[in-house]
Amino acid sequence: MTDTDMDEILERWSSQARKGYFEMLLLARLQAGRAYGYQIVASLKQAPGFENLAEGTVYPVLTRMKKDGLVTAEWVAEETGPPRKYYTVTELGARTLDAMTRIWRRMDDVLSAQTGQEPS
Amino acid sequence: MQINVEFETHEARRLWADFLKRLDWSNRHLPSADRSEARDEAIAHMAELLAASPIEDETDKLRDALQRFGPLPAPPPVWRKPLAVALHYLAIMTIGASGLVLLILLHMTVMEAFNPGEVGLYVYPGDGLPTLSYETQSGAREILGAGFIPVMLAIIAAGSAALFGLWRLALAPEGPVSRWMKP
Repeated sequence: MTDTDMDEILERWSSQARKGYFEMLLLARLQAGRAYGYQIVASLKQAPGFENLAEGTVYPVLTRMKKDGLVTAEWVAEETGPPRKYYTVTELGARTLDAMTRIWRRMDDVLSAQTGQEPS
Repeated sequence: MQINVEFETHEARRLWADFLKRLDWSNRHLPSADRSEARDEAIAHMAELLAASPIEDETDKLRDALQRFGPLPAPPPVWRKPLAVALHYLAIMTIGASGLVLLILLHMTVMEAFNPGEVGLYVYPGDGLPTLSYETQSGAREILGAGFIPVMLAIIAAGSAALFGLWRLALAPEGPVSRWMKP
């Protein structure tokens, strides 16, 4: 297997991993305080692996989270510039984030146990 | 809520309209209110991107913002513009049929060189209209005579130029009809 083959496998795998991780990351960002789409994207792009995030992809996920009751959204008119739609985590969203974090940590523990390394 | 972004250049306006059209088409499965909401949210995001961009040229700035927003959704299929499709079809038919006529004229011009006594433009007895023919008939009066070849070549050249113009206008990928057809 060449390095190129491995790169392709890693790209495919990390893309899948990011998808599962994305919703949790959004909830975590909103847990830190309400934010509008552009703001959320700007902070997500600081995270490793999300530098090249296609910014429009955040909105369908936010919409789904809103439908699931994990977040609420509210348009706020701005004095200058376009109105902004602020998202806020609901109580259900906060509990879901806690549960997701526990699952994530458990997976980390399982991986550590398999590899004999300390959890990160 | 209705949000919009204004552009000054034609190209930027075209890109923007194309983006919105693609966006609406990709969200067509959503209920109207949700589709409108998704559109407003995308526009608000694009407005933020444009406002924060250091690029000066309006069109380049929009292209950069669109790239950052993500891969463009697929455009609506071309049959969504029936008038443009009809114009295209009409142009194809006109060019095809007229091209055949020009080929026949070219053939007659060549044949005139080999058979000048028969091929020509005639007015037949009892008929006021001139008729192109490969063979003469008794009593037919030939018009043009030696001028047949240059006149025909001039008609062929003018006709070809007109067809080329029609192709450029209606069928060429960069022509106005094709650009308009682009969903």
